[in-house]
Amino acid sequence: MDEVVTIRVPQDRETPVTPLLRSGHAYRYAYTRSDDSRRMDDIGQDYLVIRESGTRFAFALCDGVSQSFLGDLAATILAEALVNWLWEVDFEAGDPGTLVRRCRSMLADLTSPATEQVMHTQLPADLPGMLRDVLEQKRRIGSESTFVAGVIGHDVSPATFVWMGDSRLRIWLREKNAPVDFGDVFHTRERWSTRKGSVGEIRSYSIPSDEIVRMVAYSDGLAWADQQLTVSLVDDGLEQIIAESRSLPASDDVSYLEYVRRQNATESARDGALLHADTSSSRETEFGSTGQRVAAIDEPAALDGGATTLVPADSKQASQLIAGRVDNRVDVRNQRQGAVRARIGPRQLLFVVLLAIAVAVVVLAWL
Amino acid sequence: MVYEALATSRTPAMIVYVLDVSASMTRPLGGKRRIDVVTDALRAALQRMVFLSTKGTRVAPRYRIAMYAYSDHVYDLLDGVKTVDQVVRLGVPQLTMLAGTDTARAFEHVERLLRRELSAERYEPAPLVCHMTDGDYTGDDPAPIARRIMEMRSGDGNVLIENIFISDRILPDQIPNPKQWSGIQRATPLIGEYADKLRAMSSPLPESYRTVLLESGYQLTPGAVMMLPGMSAELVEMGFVMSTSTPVTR
Repeated sequence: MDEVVTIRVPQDRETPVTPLLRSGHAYRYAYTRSDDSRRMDDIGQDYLVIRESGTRFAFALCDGVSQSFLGDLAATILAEALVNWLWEVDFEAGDPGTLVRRCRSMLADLTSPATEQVMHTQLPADLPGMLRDVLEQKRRIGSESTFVAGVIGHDVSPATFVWMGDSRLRIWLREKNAPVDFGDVFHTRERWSTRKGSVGEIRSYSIPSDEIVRMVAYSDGLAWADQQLTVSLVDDGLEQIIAESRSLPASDDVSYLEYVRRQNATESARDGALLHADTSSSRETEFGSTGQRVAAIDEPAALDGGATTLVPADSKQASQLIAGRVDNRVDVRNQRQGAVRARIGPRQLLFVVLLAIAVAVVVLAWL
Repeated sequence: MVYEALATSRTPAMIVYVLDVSASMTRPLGGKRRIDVVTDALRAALQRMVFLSTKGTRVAPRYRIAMYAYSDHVYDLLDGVKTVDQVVRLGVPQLTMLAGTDTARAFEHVERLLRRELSAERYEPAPLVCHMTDGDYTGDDPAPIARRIMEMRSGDGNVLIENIFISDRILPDQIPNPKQWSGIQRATPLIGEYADKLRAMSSPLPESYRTVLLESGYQLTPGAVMMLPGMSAELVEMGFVMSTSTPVTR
């Protein structure tokens, strides 16, 4: 399964928590606009892109700076560039210093086409003079965005993460209870600018992919819930926190991504069977159970690549897996129950009924 | 009294401008008429509010603005309180000079406005009254009314009063670079009784405002009061920048 799928989470609407189960990993994502953007029916300035194949998972989560020129513009340009770069670059030989240098160089190269885009962006003709003056002032400053991006393989190849700004990144490693302590490295002032390139320090982290158990990234719209998000929540709990963020006075755009590596081959094989079974069922039935959640990623504009081979499996199971609620003992029990159900097929049932009738006839004859 | 509530669409910051338009405002300040310097600084302040409220091409209503011009009478330039997105459409009001400087009358208008608009229950930024004048008052003493206003409060703190005093005789020394100036402290020697009175009518600069001003390149030190000596166009502009320094989200 080497088809590449890219999910671009829409900026013009809310995307509820959407869990997806794959053969090597599970993940879920969500998006909501700030209260201001919702009220004005404007697009959000966060932008989240996810790209995956059977062997790799990459993402870029960008948060446009609203005090720059159309922050969503920088967020969009940057997220696409980061995902392309992470997907194509070979990090095998790279040390952290090399990684940062290559990233800075990529970000610098991006300024020229991005500035071109900023300069050619047309403003609506009917803007009041003062607003037009302010936007032209911002155009001179450029469009800016913070980012967190990464790529994770399914083997020992290096998982690589880069970021600038205050979007959060948390990574849990094998046999460790607490996430990796990155220290004080999520600073609002650090960002990418279409005019200046990287402003501040590019942060990076690399580790063999198979060390990673779980990864969470979210924009600063959820910063108020940092403590609550140190544990994995069920979808409804996560949805509730995101909904709460919309009611805060300082409501900001929220984009959220959570990735969980499948624990072992048995689990992958079991859920792989499930994936296969679901793939053979009709799309209507499959999406019917998840409703709007799946519809959000099923739009041609938001999804490209080999969608037919990477259709979502059981979203509930994906949620359970991500929230850490599936343990092996329960799985084994469920498998046994499934096995018992499998043995009692229609033929067996007919045999049991006939046997019961025969016994009843013998008993009646004896009486 | 922390003054940390953010100016947002749900909790907009209220800013009341009280502008002296007495005849003396025709006098020069750095090659321009004082009234023109003030109009330019007011335009810059409104643009700054728009800058801080713009997301995409829309202006979020993060500020509520009232604007009074006064001489012997008080003129409501915006016809009530308007949100910043409404002010963007209205533009900067034209200031016309008249005789007299009845500061107390203007402050009475402000007091009535705040009694209508203010609630100590709501957690929203404390309103700020930005008073600009260039000379002594001609009516009643405004100080008692200013004190009453400073005792009013929202959930975030007491109402703030800032004074921009346009005069070349306030401080013994010139301020060559406003960006490196530490501000007027309670003990700073001032020239003239009215300067002392205006200082007493000025709130202490909240730390959150000071932080925003530091980010704008100003070096005001802790303990500074919200009083600006309008000895140059740059200092007048700094005074109007101070009026827009309620913390906002990025």
